[in-house]
Order: sequence, then structure tokens, then C-alpha cells
Amino acid sequence: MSSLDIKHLNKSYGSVQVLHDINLEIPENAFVVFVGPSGCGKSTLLRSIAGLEEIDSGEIILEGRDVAKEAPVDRDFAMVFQSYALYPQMTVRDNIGFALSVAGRPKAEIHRKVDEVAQMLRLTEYLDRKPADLSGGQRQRVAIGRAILRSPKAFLFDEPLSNLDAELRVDMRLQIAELRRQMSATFIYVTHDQVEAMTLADQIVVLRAGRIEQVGSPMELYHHPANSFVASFIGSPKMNLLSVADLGLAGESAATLGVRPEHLSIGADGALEGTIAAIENLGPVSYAYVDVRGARVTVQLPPAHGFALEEAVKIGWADDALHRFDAEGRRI
Amino acid sequence: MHKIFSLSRKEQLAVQFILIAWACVVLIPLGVAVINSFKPNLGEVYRAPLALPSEWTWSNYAEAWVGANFGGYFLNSAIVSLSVVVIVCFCASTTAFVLVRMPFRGSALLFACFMIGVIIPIRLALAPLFTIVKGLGLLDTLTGLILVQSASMMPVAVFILTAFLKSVPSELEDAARMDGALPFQIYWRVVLPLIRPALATVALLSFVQAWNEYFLPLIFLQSSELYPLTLGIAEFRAQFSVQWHLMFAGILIMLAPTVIAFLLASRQFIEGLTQGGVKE
Ligand SMILES: Nc1ncnc2c1ncn2[C@@H]1O[C@H](COP(=O)(O)OP(=O)(O)OP(=O)(O)O)[C@@H](O)[C@H]1O
Ligand SMILES: [Mg+2]
Repeated sequence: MSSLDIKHLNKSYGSVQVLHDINLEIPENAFVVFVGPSGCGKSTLLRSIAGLEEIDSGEIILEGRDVAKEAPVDRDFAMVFQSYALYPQMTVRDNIGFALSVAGRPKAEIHRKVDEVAQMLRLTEYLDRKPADLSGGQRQRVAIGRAILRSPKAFLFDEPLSNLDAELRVDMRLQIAELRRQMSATFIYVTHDQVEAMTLADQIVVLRAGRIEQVGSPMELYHHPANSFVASFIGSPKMNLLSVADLGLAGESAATLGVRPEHLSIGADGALEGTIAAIENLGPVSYAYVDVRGARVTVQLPPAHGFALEEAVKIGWADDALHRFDAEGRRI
Repeated sequence: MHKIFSLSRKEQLAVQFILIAWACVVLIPLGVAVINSFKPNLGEVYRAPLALPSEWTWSNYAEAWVGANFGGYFLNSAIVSLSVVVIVCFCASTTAFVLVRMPFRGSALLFACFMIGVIIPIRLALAPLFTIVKGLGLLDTLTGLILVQSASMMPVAVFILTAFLKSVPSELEDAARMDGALPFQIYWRVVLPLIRPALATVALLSFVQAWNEYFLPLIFLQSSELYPLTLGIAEFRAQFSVQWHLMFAGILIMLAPTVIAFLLASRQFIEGLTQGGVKE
């Protein structure tokens, strides 16, 4: 049985419909990541699941029970916000223990549980500080601690790491992965970050303009994108989408060809001719941006490549690396 | 420090001259009052009003306080003003919380009514107000006066607090909802601490307004033992018409609480502005 089942969920703000007929099954204890361009409704979907937004219609079934009309606290989810949302006037201890104190639990029990959580998140020495006296990473750990304390059925994260600098983000990402191994709970996670999505997720849900484009494991999405939108959204740098008509590729039934930079190579017998417009050397790999008849194609190069700007080159690929899409962008 | 624009030396002098002149205009009468309130007799006030007292004495304050029943007036003023502050802060903040965070059908209309209250002075509604207070049997009681004064402060207070609350991100309240807090707990434990700077403004405004109000007590009170300081000082003037040294002491007694209120409130502003919970 799946632990969370969303059926025909619709949500609008005023006259603007933001989520269109969302159907999603989230297996028990899965790690699900929502990705999509800004404004596509990721936060709205997460907040609807949390119960912070009223939905227009649809069901949210948690262990066989429709919770769509229930108050957030009765759904037994905990949420971690992008802005941390720590209560500024309370100490770290009071912040973490707030849910239990609101529920009127005895002081001794709250104290003990907060200590446990603080130990787990290495926050013990900060318990008497106010949030303003903590670093960004520490604040986010407090926010996560507040979520853990209630041992919820599901953790909801809305871009929890996007306010942190790159190094801290890697560190926190590993901590979240570790947390996931320790807790038996479902994780639903919204992010802009490709790497977070690919490394953390069991399942990625790609959203566009309030609709689900594809649901699948990271590798499924990477290797078998259902349409050109998913193809260009998953993977960094982006997949090259080549218009068959513009490039005059003979004998192709598809409208668009998709091919990832790592599957392209520059050689003597390439099908496309162009000039190198830019080269980025990142260390382990390099990327060449090649102008081909007005289109820009990204090609992955080996670290020691020896190509120069303005060089005329031919780009080739292995046929089995191609993704074919029809005129509507659907995979063929 | 980086400045958006900087003044030339001459311009700075001109600006400082204007500011200092203004400060003098404000402070000189106050200084004269302070100096003269410490003088031992009236003769000294007449002979050299701007000179320091030959001998500093608190006796004028004592005499004003005891002799002219200032203690009683002061107590009435304090009861009225503090009650108004508590009532206005509580009612206006709960109202603003509901109007901003839980809008309902008709809430915009309700807000519009408060805004009309900001524009129209309460004195225009005096006749119906008088009838209502009379109908409630609250004429010539402090309760009646407190309610009327509180109501007269509500529109401005609601206006200030709604504007402030709109600028506060609602994620903290969402977090509290996820934590299972009920609406009143959210209001009391999360929202109230967040809007403290605005609340300090409202408390200060309503305190000063209530403390200095002359007109409403004049209309709604009859018995002199209920009089606040503003009315009491008028009696006092009749009694000590030319006793300027006593008069000054009385005025300064009346002024002291508002100054203290300003100092308290400004501390609140600063504390409120320097705490950060949401990532800025
Ligand atoms: N309170 C609101 N009132 C009206 N429209 C809203 C409200 N909140 C969000 N929207 C609209 O709903 C759409 C989806 O917003 P949402 O915040 O879910 O996007 P998102 O995918 O989380 O974007 P981002 O990645 O930038 O956080 C947007 O077009 C936004 O303008
Ligand atoms: Mg968002």
C-alpha cells in the first residue's frame, strides 16, 4: 500500500488555476523530489499536501484516509521552510520544543526529547542561543530539528538549502541523506538544484505550469525522458535539442533530436559542421559550445582536448544515444 | 558611512543652524518651566524668570501634588491611559491579525470602516456617542471614558498594525500551524512578538493621546474626583492663578509620564528591529 496518494488535486488562487489535476502516488518511506521551473507550482503542491493551502478539489489519501480537509497538525507532517522560519524571540531549545509545548506535554519530556534531537544534529552547545546568533547552516539544522522532534509520517522540505553557500549545501545534503537513513518516514523535497534532485531522490516529479510532466527515478528521467521538456530540464549541462528541419538532417522521422553533451564527439566524420564559439574547462571535463547553422550545440570534451576557439569542427554521435521527439515534444 | 548624497560645508552649516534653532524653540519653554519649578518663591520667578533658582527645592512639587489633589488626578489619568493602552493593543492587534491573515467575506468592508475612522474625527460623532454611553449607564464613570477613548484610538492602531503585519512574512505562522498551534496560540506566541515594534508605536500613541485628552473627559465626566490631570490642571489654574512656580511644577508632573513612555517605547523599537528569525 502506498503511504500517500494524491488524486485529481486542483488548486487555484482567485481565478488563476495553479495546479491542474495532479495525480501522484508516493510509496511509503520514499524520497520524492519535486523539480520544475520557477512558478510552476512546486511550493503550492507541497503546501497543499501540508494543509497550509486549501485545495479546490481532489483527495490526499494518507494510509487509506482522506486528509484533504484536515488541519495541518492532524496530517502528521513536518515542514522545513526555505527561510528556516524560526521563532526569533525563542531560544533554540524553545524553537525545537515548540510543537510539544503547544501540545501541552510535560516540561521534563520536552527537555529530554529536545536534548536527544540536539545531540543527533550536533546542536547541543547552541540550545540557549537565539536564532539571530546562529549561522545559516545552524539555523537550518534547528529547523530540521523542530521537524524531527515530532517524528512525523512525512517530512516536507521547500528548498531548504537554497539560502546556504555552495560548500555548506553539500554538507547539509549529506546530512539530509543520513537523516533519511535514520528515520523511517516519507520525504518530499522541493528544489531547484539538479544535484540535490539526482542524488537524494528515489523518485523525481517534474512539474511544468501546474501539471506533472513525468514521474520516475533519476536514472529513468535521465535516460528516458518522456518529452523534450523533461529532457532539457534534467541533466546539466542541458541536453541538446536539435531541430531536424533547421539542420536539414535527411532521413529523420522525428521533429526534434535530443542528444546529451557527453554523447557527442568532435571528429572527422561528424554529421554537423560548425565553429567553436566558446570553451569551458572545468577540470575533469571541458565543454565546447559549437555554433551549427544558428543553433548552439554543447559538446563534452576530454580534459586534454587541444581545441581552440573559432576552429571549424564536425560533430558526430552514436545513433543509440539519440532521443527522438515528435512535433509536440513527445518521445517517440 | 556611505551617504546617498552629501552636503557642502555651507549647506551643512545652514541645516545645523535650522535644527539647532528649532531645538531651542522647543526646549527653551521647557527649560524655563524646569528652572522656575524649583524656585522657592514667586518673587524670584517674577524678578528673573530666566535665572537659576537661588536655592533648589522640591517643595513646589510636593505642594502641587498634595495641596491641589494632584495625586488623585494623576491616579485617574494613569488608570484611564493604561487601560486604554491595554485595550487598544489587544483589540487592535487581534483585529489586524484576523484582517490580514484570515480574510473573510466582508473583511475588506470592515477594514474600510476603520479607515473611515482614521479620517473622520470622533468629535463629529459626539451626539450619538453621548447617547450610547448614556444608554449604557456609563456617563460619569471612568469605564465609560476608557471605552470611548479606546474606541477613538482603534482606527489608527488597526491601520498601523495591519500595514506592519502585511510586511511580515507569514512563514513563521505556517511553521506554527504545522507545529499544531491554534489560532490564539499563533497570535500570542508567534505574531505578538513579531509585531512588537509596531505595537510599541501603538502603545505610545494611545498612551500619549489618552494622557493628554482634554475634550472627551470634559464631555463624559462630571464629578471632579474622577477628573484626569488635563481637567485637574484647569481647576488648579483657578486655585493657584498667579502661583507660577507651583503651576510649572504641576505641568512638569503632568509631562513626566509621556516622556517616560517615549523612552520605554524607543527601547522596544530597537529591540524589535534587531532580532532576525526569518533569513533576510
Ligand atoms: N498567495 C498567492 N496568491 C496568488 N498567486 C499565488 C500565490 N502563491 C503563489 N501564487 C502563484 O502560483 C504559481 C505557483 O507558485 P509556487 O510558489 O508554487 O511556485 P514554485 O514552483 O514554488 O516557484 P519557485 O521555484 O520560484 O519557488 C505562481 O505562478 C505564483 O504566482
Ligand atoms: Mg517555491
